[in-house]
Amino acid sequence: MGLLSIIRKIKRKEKEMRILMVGLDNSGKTTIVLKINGEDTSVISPTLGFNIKTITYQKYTLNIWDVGGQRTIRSYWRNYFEQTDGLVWVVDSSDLRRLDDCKMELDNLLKEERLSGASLLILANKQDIKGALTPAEIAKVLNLEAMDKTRHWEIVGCSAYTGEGLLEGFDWLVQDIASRIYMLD
Amino acid sequence: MEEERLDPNLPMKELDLDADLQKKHQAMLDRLSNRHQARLDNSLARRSDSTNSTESTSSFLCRFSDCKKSIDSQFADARLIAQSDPSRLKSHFADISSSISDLEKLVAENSYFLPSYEVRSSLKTVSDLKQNLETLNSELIPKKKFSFRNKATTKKELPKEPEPVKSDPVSTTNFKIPDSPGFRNKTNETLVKNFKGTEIGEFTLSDLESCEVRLIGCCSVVFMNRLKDCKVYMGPVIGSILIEEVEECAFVLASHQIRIHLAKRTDFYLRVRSRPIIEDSNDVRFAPYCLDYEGIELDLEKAGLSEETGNWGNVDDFKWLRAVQSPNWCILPENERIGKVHIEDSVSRIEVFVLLISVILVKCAPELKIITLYGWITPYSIQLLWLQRWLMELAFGILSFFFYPSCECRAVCFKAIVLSFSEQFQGFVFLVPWIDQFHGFEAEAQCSMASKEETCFNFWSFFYTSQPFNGPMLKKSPSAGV
Repeated sequence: MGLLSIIRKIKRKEKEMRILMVGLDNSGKTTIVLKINGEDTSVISPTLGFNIKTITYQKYTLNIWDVGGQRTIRSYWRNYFEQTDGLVWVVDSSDLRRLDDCKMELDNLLKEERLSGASLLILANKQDIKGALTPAEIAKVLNLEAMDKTRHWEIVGCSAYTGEGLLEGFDWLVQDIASRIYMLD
Repeated sequence: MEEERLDPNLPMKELDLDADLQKKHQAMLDRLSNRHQARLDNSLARRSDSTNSTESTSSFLCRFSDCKKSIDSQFADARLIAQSDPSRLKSHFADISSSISDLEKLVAENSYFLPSYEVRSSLKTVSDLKQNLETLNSELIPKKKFSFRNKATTKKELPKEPEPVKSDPVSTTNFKIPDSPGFRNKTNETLVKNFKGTEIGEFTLSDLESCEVRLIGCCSVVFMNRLKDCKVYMGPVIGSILIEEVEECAFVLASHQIRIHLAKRTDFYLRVRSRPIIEDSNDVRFAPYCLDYEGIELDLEKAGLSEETGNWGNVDDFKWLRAVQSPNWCILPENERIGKVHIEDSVSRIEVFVLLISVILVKCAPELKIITLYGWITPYSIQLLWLQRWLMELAFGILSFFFYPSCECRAVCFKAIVLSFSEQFQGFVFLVPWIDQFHGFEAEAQCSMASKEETCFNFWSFFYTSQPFNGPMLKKSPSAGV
């Protein structure tokens, strides 16, 4: 986030935030977005391409970009990096076998310069499933403590199925972005 | 006439001119000869040079390789310096770059007589060296990102940086991921699991070959990985199913979402609430769900799948993003589909009940003196001891019947109890002929007579690990009416 864009945002007074949702396939990105928006989550197909949702949250307008996570289309994630204020990384806490994949993809993502200023929210999804790892365990597996010290990050356990933990996570994200960008308020 | 007169004048004039010309001519000749001489000398010198050219080329190559060696050793030094004294690194790199430019100059000076191949190869070496220097430079002196920071903190950053990299593998290896419930590493088996009354979240099938898998009841998530030549029949899944690396299998599945990766020559009988997807798959065929077992309607309703959605044929191929039909999948022709599949538990509830009755019958036998054969074989003192132990285990079995979640497991408990005491019932199977209807019970009883210890071990390990029991007893269980 350059100085110019900060100034531009303050000037615009729109209080808009751009949030990018990424994560492996089957982690529940689309379900999370629809659940927050209060829509039906029972007939969600795996995302081919992306969805955009504009949600008014507190006094801010969130532009949530929900990008498909299938392996074939992961290479297109970088097309959405520009001007991202908040990054939401969704983890399927019950898919223990692919946690290594998950760690690798997250590490690759965090190397990206265009995302270096974005606040990172990690949602340890599917906590409703018995046998799912807790957020603390996920943090350990993903080795989040070793992340760049300048990064603002937080891990929150949630369940897109029940809706638990979602608001808590997004509260943190919005507050964190707001304190960085709209500091004059 | 005049011409003749003029004629004698001519030589006069010529003579005058001639003297001048002669001088000039002489001078010219001298100059020319000088020049020629010089040229000759030059060419001689050159020729001598060119005759020596092979020698000097080799001497050049010799010098060149010496220089290159010294630069290489400087590179090696740089790494040492980086470890011992990073502050000296910059000046060291300056030295290296100056010696590289010296080398470049050497090549340039000698290029006029060198064969073009040598020139090219040595220039290439020089540019390689430069490249090396650059990479080494960026490796050992990392570029600092521009940022505002306090002066005091800048010094601390350099030694800190390698630490997280080192801790990386340690922390990941330290953390062990627990195994989820599931069937793994099996060949040629019939694997049965009943989720009824249990709170199973995720279930995993991995590394199975030529197996038949029957999962009855609902669960939340299923992962399937590396299956070959398997048949998988599954009750409705509330969440999603993820399938990876399967070959020549048949799946009968119902779920909220189904993702299929790396599947080959496989048939899917699906009922899905969303569009199923395939990725990196080929030769996969789709048909509607066709499973039946006792109580499936309730389970389907629980998962919100009681009605056919018609999505089984709306397959998205992520490797085929065009409007025309993907070549990787097709709809299974109706005449090739399997009919309605009916599955049941390996031991149904009724069978368990009959087994229980038979156990009680046998238990009472010594008291009622019905099975005299038994009394005849076993001395009275041992009978008492055995009775005590038997009562304890029966109590345990009854408790587990009510508290252990899976019906299948309960059945196995009872079988184990009966079998572990079958030694005492040598006449049992003959006296109670209707027991034959327990598919292969007789055979198992005799089998376990031979190896009672093994049975007991299985029995106890089953309780200790509380893992689904898949010992030898299940293998002989009745096959479902498929």
